Formats: sequence, C-alpha cells, structure tokens
Amino acid sequence: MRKLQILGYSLLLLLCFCSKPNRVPDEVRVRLTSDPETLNPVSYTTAGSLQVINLLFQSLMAIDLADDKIKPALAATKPSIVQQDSLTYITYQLRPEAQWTNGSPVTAADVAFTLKVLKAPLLNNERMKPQVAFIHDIIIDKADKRKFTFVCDGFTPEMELLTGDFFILPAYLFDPEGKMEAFTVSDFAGDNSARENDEGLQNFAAHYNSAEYARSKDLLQGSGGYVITAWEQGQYLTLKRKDDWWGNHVDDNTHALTANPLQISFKIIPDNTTALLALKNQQLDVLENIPAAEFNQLKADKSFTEDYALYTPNSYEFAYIGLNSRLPKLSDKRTRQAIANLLDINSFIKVSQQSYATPTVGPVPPSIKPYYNNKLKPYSYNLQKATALLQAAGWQRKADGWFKTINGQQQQLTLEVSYRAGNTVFENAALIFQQGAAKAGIPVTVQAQEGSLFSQKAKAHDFDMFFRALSGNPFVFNFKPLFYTSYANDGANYTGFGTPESDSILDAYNVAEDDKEKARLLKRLQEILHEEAAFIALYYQKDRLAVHRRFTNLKISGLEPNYDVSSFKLQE
Amino acid sequence: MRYYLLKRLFLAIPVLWLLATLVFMLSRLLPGSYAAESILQEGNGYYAKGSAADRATAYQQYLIRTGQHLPLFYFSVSSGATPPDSLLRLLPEAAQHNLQQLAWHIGNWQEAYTFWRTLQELQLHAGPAELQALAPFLQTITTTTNVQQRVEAARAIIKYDTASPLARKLYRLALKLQQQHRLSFMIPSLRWHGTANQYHKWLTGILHGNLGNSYRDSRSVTDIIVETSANTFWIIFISMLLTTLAALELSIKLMQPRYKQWRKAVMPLLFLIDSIPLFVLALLLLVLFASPAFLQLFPVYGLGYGYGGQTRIEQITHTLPYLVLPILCLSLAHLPYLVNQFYNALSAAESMDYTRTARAKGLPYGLIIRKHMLRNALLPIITLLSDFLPALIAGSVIIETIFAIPGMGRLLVTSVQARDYPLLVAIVLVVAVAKVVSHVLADICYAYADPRIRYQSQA
Repeated sequence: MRKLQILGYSLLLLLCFCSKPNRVPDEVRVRLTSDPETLNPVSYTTAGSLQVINLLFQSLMAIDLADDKIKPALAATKPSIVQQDSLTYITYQLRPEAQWTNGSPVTAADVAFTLKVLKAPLLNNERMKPQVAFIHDIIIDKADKRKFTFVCDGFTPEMELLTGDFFILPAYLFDPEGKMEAFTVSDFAGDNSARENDEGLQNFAAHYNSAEYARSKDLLQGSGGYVITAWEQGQYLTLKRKDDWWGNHVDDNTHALTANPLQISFKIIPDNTTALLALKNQQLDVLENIPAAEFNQLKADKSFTEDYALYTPNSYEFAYIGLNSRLPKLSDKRTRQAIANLLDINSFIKVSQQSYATPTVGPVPPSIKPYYNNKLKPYSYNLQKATALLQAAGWQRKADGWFKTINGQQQQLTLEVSYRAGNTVFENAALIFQQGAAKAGIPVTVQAQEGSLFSQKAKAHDFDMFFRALSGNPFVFNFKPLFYTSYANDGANYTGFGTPESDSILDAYNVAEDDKEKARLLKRLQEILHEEAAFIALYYQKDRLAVHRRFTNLKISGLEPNYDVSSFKLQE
Repeated sequence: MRYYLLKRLFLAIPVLWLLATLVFMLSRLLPGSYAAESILQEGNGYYAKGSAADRATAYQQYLIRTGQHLPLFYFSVSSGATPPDSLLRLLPEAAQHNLQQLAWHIGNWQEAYTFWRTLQELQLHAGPAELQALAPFLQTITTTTNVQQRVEAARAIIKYDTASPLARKLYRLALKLQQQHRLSFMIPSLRWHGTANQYHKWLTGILHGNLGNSYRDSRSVTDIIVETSANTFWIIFISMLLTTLAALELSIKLMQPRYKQWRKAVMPLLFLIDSIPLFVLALLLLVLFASPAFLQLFPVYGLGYGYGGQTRIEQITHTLPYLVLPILCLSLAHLPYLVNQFYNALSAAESMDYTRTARAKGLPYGLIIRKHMLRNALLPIITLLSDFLPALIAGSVIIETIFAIPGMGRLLVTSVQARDYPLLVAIVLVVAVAKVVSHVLADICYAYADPRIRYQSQA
C-alpha cells in the first residue's frame, strides 16, 4: 500500500514537470550567450547587447540585412557631404514621422544632446568617444528643427558611416532637468579637462553613470519599435512591440524600419550543447553559430528539418595567419612564402569548418566580386616549393632542421604558433600546420594563450605566428589601420606588413572616387599582401543558423546577427 | 563553548582580511583589464573607429574617472630600474611592457626611457621603405637581452641611413648603455604612495559596507551578489543535504551483511560515476532526461519565466522542475566519494570493542550501526562535510553554465573573463566567509557528536 502511494506521488510529480510554459504565438525566442549586462546605447560592450539595443534605439542610418545595404533609419535620406578647406560638413534631415515613446518628435536637439553625452568628460562614454572625436560641432538649422549639419575635422571615407552609426538618445528621458543644455557640442571638442570641474556636468554624470541608465526599463526607451517588459539578470530579457509604432507607417521602400513580432524573448544560455537541446525541444526559434559538426547532424535529422530551416550565409568574418615580419628570422619574404606554402587551407576548412568556408586570397571577401582579385590562387600545401624558397632565403638544411646566420649568430628556423585559448577551430588548424611543417623540417610549437595575453602579445609584436579572425563588412574597405606601415608601431598592424607601394595604395584608395579605380587599387593590394605573405588570409566562414519554419521574412545575411528579428512574420 | 566559538569567529577576521587583500592584489596582476579590453580594442579591421590616440585619451579618462589611475597599494617595492607608474600609465600596454623590459636590461629607467623615445621617434619619422628595411633591427633592439646585439642592430640602422641624426643618437645611446653597470636593476627601490591608493579606497569602502560597483554595468556589487547567491545557495544546500543523506543511508545499508550482494554491484557503479567528469555527467543527464530523443521529463535550461504576483509556494513549484537536474547532477557527482568515506569510517568503527560488545549483547545489526557505530564515525564525516564547500562551488560553476542558471558560479567565471575586479574580489570574499561559517558549524557539530570535545572546550 505504501509503495503504491509513493508511486502515485512520484507520477504526480513527473506530470507536473512535463508542463511547458505557455507563450504568445508570434513570440520569437532568441538565444544570447551571455547577459547583455548593460543596455545603455552608449556604453554597451557585447554583441548581444547591441542586438537588443538595435530594437530599442535607432541611429541615423542602419544596415538593411535584406540586401546588406546602408539605408536611412532616423534620417529621411542619405546625408549630403560638403568638403570645405580642412573641414567636412555632413548634413542630415530627420524623418518627420520619427517619435519617442511618449509621442514627442525626434529633433536635431536630441542629436545634439546625444553628441554631448558621447563627447563629455566624466561620463561613462569612453568606448564610443573615439568614434565621434572627429565631429567638431553641430549646426542646427534655424528654420527646420529636424535638419542639422555635423562639422567634422578632415575627411576620411568612413565619416559618412560613422556619423550615422550611433544611437540617438531621447533628451527628455536622459536629461529631464536639461543640465546639458548649458553646454554646446564644441565645448567638448579637443581638450576639455577644464569642464570636469563644472558642477552641472558633475551632477549629470552622477545621475547618468548610475546603474539605472544601464538597466532601467523606464529609461531605456528610444525611438525603436520595442520596449523592455522584463529582464531577469542572467536568465531572460523580454521585449514588447510598441502599440502603433511610427516606423510601421513609413511607406517608402528605402528603409529597414520594421517591428513585426509582438514579443521578442532573449534567452541567456551560455553553453552550446544546452542551446542545441533547447532548440531541439522547440524552446528556441532562432539559433546562430551552431558548431559545424552539430549543424551537419541537424541537417540529417528529418524530424528537425520539418520544423526548422537551416541557413549558411556567407559571413564577413575571415580567419587569417599573421607572421611577424619584424623578426629577423622572418624578415625575408621568401621565408614567409615558404611557410605559406606549408599551409593546407583546404584541410583547415575540411577539418575545422566541415567545409562551411570559402578559401580567400586576401581580406576582400570573395563574394564582393568587383573587388576580389580572382587571378590569385590561395596558398596550398607544396613541400617542394617551400624547400626551394627556404634555400633561396639562405636557410641551410641540416639533420635537425633549417639554419641561417643572422646578425652573426647561427639561428634555427622554429615557429611558435599561438591562438586564443578555447578556439578549437584554430587549435585544429594549428595542429594540421604543425604536421605539415614537420615534414619540411620546421619544428612548430602550438600554444593557446588566454585572450588578453594573446592580444597584448600581438600588440607588442611578441609572437612568431598566430591565428586570428577578423570581421568586416561589405561597405567600407579602408584597410589603412591593418596594413599601413606606421600602424605597426602602435596600432592594429601586428604583422609589421607594409611596403612603400602598399602605403601609397592605401592613401590613394581613401581619396579615390571612381569604383573602377578603387577596384584596381584593392586588387593590387591583394597581390602585394599575397606576395609579402605576412598577413595570410585563409578563408571566409559561412555562418550556420537555424530558424523555426513558422516565420518568414527573415532577412538572412552574412552580417551579424545574421537575421533581422524585428522583420520576422508568421507564415500565413 | 560559546566563548570558544566567538574566539574562532574573531580569529577568522584577520584571515578573511588577508585572503581578500591577496585576491585584490593577485587579480590586478592578470594581464589586460576591463577598460583596456573594451576601450583600446581596435574593433573590426575594415575601417578605424577612432584613432589610437583618441582611444588612448579615452582610456586615460576612464582610469581617472574610476580611480584606477591610483597606485595599487600604500607602497611599492620594485627594481630600481622600473619606470615609475606615473610614466607607465601614460603609455599603451604593449609599450609599457617593452619599456619595462628595456629598463630592466639596461638597469636605469631614465636612460631606458630616453633610448626608447629615440627609438619611437625614429620609427615615427621613417618612411615605409625605411621601416620595411629596418623592422628586423628595430625589433631586435626592443626585445633583445644581449647588449652586443643591440649595438650591432643600431649600427646596422646607421649603415642604412648615415645622415639621420636620430639613428646617430640611437647608436650613441646604445654604445653608452653598453658601459652601464647592468646589475643596478637588482637594487630594490621603495616608493611610498600614501593613502591615495586603490587598496585604501577599497578597504575603507568595505568597512563602510560598500563593496564597490561592477565595472560592467555599474551596479552595486552587493546587489548583484544578493541577487545571484540565492540560486546558488539553494542548489548547493539541497544537493549537499541530499548527497549526505543518500551517502549515509547507502553506506549504512552496505555495511549490513544481508546487502553483501548489493555491495558488489553498487561499489563499481559508484566508481564509474566518480570517473565521469562533471560536465559530461551534466550533459548526459540533459540528453537523457531533457531531450526529445530519449525522455523529455525536465526543462532544459534556466529557471522559467516569473509571472509576477505569485505566492511563494507557486514560485517554488514553478522553479523546482528546473532545479531537479542541476541538483541531481551535483549530488551524483559527489556521492561516490562521500559513500566511500562514510563506508570506511563505519568499517573502522566496526572493528572496535564497543561494536563487539553491542553484538555480544545480541542487538540487531542495523541498530548497532545507527546507535553505536555511526556516532563514533561521525567525527571524520563532519570534517569531510565542512571541507565539502569548495568542491560544491567549483561544481556550481559548471552546473550553472550548462543549465543556464544565473548564480554565483557563473558570475565568478564571467567576472574573471571580463576582469571585473570589484565583483571578483567580492565573490571570493563571500566564499571565504561561507567557508569560515562552515568550519564554525563543524565545531558545533563536533561538540554535539562527541561530548568529550564539549567538556574539553569548556575546561
């Protein structure tokens, strides 16, 4: 009798576990790998928080993932750009329909307020500040409160992109007492240490830097189509569509303003396997960055593909190898070419990416056909060529490896290959390279380095060879920070790449206006990069994601986050 | 007894202080910092979002705004050759590293700095062709530990461009440094910073009950810990309770002769479980009990939605299913070890005289175990349990990550990864306090289990 009772209770217990939470039919459930931490549109740090902020706030221009083009968002049209002396004037016109959550219009005064918040001292804005340092002042049109001009120092081709690329803040919510009205944007240009003692600014800073402006659902309300309804730290974040949002009434097709799903839930699941299980259990509607092996399993799973569609868009993220050309042993380009000839890029792709990648000759994506140099062939494994190149570079083959006299000292050609710890893709690739190099008689040690240490060593040019990934975009190809010689000393040119010709190409590209000329320059740059073999691009990845079949209008794209959740519509 | 416990608690304070201080110092020795990671990072490489100089300025402003520009401690002892913090702080991290190394090799930071500046200027003024040709020598000069090599490299630079005054200056300096007394870096130098240091600020904050704010979302560390520790506490507490009870029952059962056959089956099974790493066990449980491929009994992740306006009981019944697998996982992982220890403790008690006496009295074996053997075996068990906490917290790191439960374990990992020092130090402090409390509890339990200890401590 007692046993029966126990059995009964445990069955009851089991039954109550079987219940699944109820949900709204057109709710989209998306996974985030970590808590967004802060949703402040100025001081956010993670890709996840950016994805959420994009639904709450808007910038002047935005990327339409449907065709990967930059389109006006809060701005009515593309800006007009005038260059005068050493200044550039970029003029925007805001959409007349644009509104904040309380129904008041978005005006040029809000843009000016945003710029002040981005540029002022004492505020938690250090991450964004460098991005708008070139904006010197703002001129608001006297007749039209929706028209304004940014006054910028100098000119670079990405200025247009950068002026449209920050979220506009509502002055009425962020500064209800109007403390920032005492300042102008130009007050914060250049050295503004004197302003730090201003009491008004100090008061505003104390208020603005508080956790409220990172998390409060009452304050973090922008002109976007959604508002936060719930945020359980580390668990989930729920957004609700605004009733009758203004963006849904803008008629023309030249924008990416959408807010279709009634509710969007972001689930925070750090572990990949757990996220996959949640997907299989239909507890998630979208999952991106699925590991390649699991993706193939899902593809083969009939019952899964009935409910979910799988996509592999060409991403703009590529893997590359950096060889430290500043090291005496690697300073001869023939040595670097020899090493490049020991790279088996196809094996890397097959083993570590399960073939979800496209080999590339340089940093320009193969999918951007006009700019991609298809006359070049990616490096492939060629032992004979590598040996010949090493000999040509003055290395002598001895019983235990290759030797050369550098600066009066006998030195052996050894390589230490490093990568960011935890990256299994690069771990595999490094091991494949190690085997390939061993056949040529070059001893290679493989070393995983903790993230910060890894980037610190790269900056200090304290490495032989590393694997890294870089993410780009299809609109701007200003490779100056990566390849300009003077950026080798204190910048992102870790490999020390650079020739007089490559420098002049990078300069010429920034002033070139004609597409043909740009293509010519970029193709030549790819040739030089290939020849110098200090920065060896390996492959462009394909992203792997799954989306539930009940949604359409997904706008799958190679740009992060690979889909536009605000445009999702229920299948009819 | 009460006096004894008070004394223990009182003695724990300096230990806690020392521990927190050590963690405070050690955490700052990690390479990279939150600000450097988020502000100095180049971002994507297709175009520059701001120049390196603007980023460096913003970084300095951040350090000053958050008080991280101050020295770490009241004083610093370092090699006499180390450049002062006030100088290093103005440079990017990579340059700091290079200059420091150079200063140690040279043995005098002022001269190292002049040398380093000349080197920087030379690179700044060199054209691309020149830079390409000189790069290997420049690299040698910055990194080599060999004085002769440095001079050689400087000479090579002059050979390339005989007219350059900077190259000449560099060569002159290199020659001069050759004659330096290079052991001077062994002489330590003491620098006094006074109370304007990060440690002082942090310690006074703690004494006022303020553990600081998280670097990531500027929330008060105390709030974050209070919010997340509840989940972890319940998971650890319930699984500890379950494991202990299960281990006790199991070992008692296994002691009895009539379960001899069981012992042969259960012990190897426990060994098997023990050999499975915790994360594999967690994933195994997930795949077995939360997947449509096998049995879909439990939810996969998280703690479910809160609906608001629920009663406490509703809340508990709502979150309970989500906690079953994590708790089961943590309990299973630690069960084999505990059973083994309990079983051994009981076995040791079995060969004692009092057990034989009890048997001779004709008591049933089950009663002998519970009444006579267990009480004596309890002492090692209590010690074991009080030491159990660190293992459970280490376990909760994995469990919370896999089951997506927001708790202290996951918080610890993310705060280490993000270099969120205030949070990191506070979590370690909380764990340390829990450990001290568990030791005090163990003392009480000792006294309860063994009256002899009670009398001794009263004496």
